[in-house]
Amino acid sequence: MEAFSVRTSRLLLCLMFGFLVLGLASPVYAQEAAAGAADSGLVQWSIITAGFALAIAAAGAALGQGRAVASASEAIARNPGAAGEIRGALILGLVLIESLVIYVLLVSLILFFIKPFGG
Amino acid sequence: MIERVARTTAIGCVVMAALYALWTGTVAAAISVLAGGVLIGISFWAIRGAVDDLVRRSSAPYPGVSPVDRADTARKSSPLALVKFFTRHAIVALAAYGMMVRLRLDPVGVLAGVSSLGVAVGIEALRDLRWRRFL
Repeated sequence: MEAFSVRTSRLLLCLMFGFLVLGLASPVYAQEAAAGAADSGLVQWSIITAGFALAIAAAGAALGQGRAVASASEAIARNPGAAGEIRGALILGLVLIESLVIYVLLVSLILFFIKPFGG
Repeated sequence: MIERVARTTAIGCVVMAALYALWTGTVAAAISVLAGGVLIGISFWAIRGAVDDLVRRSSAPYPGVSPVDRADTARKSSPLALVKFFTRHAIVALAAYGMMVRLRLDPVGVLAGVSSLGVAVGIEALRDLRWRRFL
């Protein structure tokens, strides 16, 4: 059982590393694809997409953060002795949700101002 | 736990900045990773302050203060906490705009810097898993 769990965790670690490498390599392919496709329609759609992506990310994060804060408040009210541990989990959860919104904000800023597709 | 994650985030951000600078061969790449770390740091700091305020107000006893006065105090101080909680978005957006548009930092580096918190949480989870296996 323990050998199986070690093997599973190693497999997960390899998968995570593979995703990390693929994630670092993907902008290279994106630049190659973007070189030939500098057209005004693409620029227009990329800006519209960036706006919608930011709106959807903000809405999803707001819902998630609201649920997290509501659950944490209820848990602290039920068990004030566990406030310290709940606080830690809440802060981590909120910051991780927030980091996803910051990703989308940065991608939107790239599409709005740096314009990788030309225009 | 939070302090440990924050420390791992800072160390991870510096290590990623060094690795990215070595990979690209420019100092600007390292600065962009550190700038991403600053963005997530601002967010972390603001959320931590707001959550601390919320937990303190909801769980700490107020000796010698009646529940009516306590509710009145909470009502009076809540606008300040709300302003602090919601202006963090404006601060983060302004900082990101300045970094990406005005300073023209490397976007991939900034994204890598923002990811440093996720990397730190992953490292902490793996460390916790490893310790639990020995117990």
